[in-house]
Amino acid sequence: MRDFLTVFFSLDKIVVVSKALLLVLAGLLVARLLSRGLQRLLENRLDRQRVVLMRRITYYSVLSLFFVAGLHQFGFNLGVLLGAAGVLSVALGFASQTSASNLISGLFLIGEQPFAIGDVVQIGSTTGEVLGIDLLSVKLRTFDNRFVRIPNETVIKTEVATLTKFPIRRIDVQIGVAYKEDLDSVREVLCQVADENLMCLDEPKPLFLFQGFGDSALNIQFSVWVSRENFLELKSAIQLDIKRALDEAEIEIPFPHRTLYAGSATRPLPVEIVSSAGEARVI
Amino acid sequence: MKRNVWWGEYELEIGDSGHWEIGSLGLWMEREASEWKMAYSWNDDEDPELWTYRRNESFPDAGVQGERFAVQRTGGTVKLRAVTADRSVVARPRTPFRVPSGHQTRILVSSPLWVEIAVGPEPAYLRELPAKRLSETWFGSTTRDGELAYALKTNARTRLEDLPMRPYRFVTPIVIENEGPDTLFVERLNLPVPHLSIFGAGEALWSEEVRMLRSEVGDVAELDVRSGPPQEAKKAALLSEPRLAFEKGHLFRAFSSLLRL
Repeated sequence: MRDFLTVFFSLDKIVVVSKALLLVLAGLLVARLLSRGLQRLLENRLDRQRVVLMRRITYYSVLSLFFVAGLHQFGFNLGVLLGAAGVLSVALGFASQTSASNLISGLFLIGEQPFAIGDVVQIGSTTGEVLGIDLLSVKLRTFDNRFVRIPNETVIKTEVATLTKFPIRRIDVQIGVAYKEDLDSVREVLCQVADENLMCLDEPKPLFLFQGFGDSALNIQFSVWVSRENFLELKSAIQLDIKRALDEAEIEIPFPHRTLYAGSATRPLPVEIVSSAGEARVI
Repeated sequence: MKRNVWWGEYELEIGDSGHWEIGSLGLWMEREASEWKMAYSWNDDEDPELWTYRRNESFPDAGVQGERFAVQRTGGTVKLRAVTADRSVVARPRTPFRVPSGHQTRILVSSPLWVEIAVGPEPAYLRELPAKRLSETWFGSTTRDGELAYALKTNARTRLEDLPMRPYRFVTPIVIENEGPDTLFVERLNLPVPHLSIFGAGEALWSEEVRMLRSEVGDVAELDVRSGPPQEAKKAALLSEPRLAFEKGHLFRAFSSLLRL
């Protein structure tokens, strides 16, 4: 035991261990300095996401170099180590298929940049503000303040809509009016509503689109343009304004109608007539 | 004291209030020992030709937006200043016109201004409000490429006598020179008001003369803002500096183009 301790704590060994430790410590320091320096250098040239990625790659590459050099000091044969790493990577590859897929998807996502941090996106059925785009997942804050993590593989496979890409957006309002109504008057009323609402953009002009003959109503789509910031506010306000204006113009927004036809064999339906005094008489 | 113009300084004692009507804007300010109360609303249906100022009119209870500004000790001065809108104004002539190749025209466009409210004597900026609210619009050839601006209908008059001077609007003379090979159809005109100063000549308000030189086919023009008040109001005094610095010879999209949706 004493011999072992003597050998283990021999001066040579202490020097080797110290060297290895020093190398790892130096690696930590150099990696940190280099990655921060790179961040400062790239901050004004690349977007935040790419800067973070470059910083991480630099940090871990430099650190691994120093770590390997430290192992070399211990007398590890790097050839054997790499061979073992090769075998290990096959095993790991099978075990971490999902992570690898997410990782590669993440690289594509960062390269393609369909959205950036701070954008509002819709991924599948989730809408929210992008908090981070990492190598494995995209993090969203939904508008009811939930934190949602979506794997990058899902983002790559799913349809993604970036709601804040362009400065203006269109709001489509679906309206049904009764068959008896004059569509020219309806168009006039709707255009007046858009004209009076200051949030509705003057250009592009509002769009009045006759969508067809519905079961109970003439279906119309009325589309107005709005700046991105006012989108939510106008989406609600314009529908309230339309309802108010149609009521004022006595234009009917019908609920589903059903005409009851019971064939020629059916007897006439009873009709009740109510007089002003409230007396009912059945015919 | 009877005032001729609405801009400038107003004195208010503690507990006093002032009420201004400038264009369609109604503004109330009340001074307390350590806070200013402000309320404002717009009556968009009215287009009054005069402005009014009344003291100690009761503060409205409803139908206005209200704000409070807390300070250590209020001074007795309210300072109103005429400034330009914070975005470009897209003027749409009620009757569009054409400028043949090799010709130039000079039109007068009157646009609503904004009221900047500050208090003193130690100056403290409070906020600015449009004297008349304008609808927003998009100026660009596609829905991706362009800028948000305010929409304005104009008569684009060429004679000063035809132009009614209103206390809440300022007039910009615009010279359009068409050196392009084809006739220029002016259906919409982008007026970059944040680059303009405001000058006061009596009750009338002016900005510098703007020259738009179109030398190629298309909507782009070279912009030049002639420093100083225009020839119609040579002795006008400077009331406010431009919001944005102007670079001479700056090329910008000045005229309308067909919007592709």
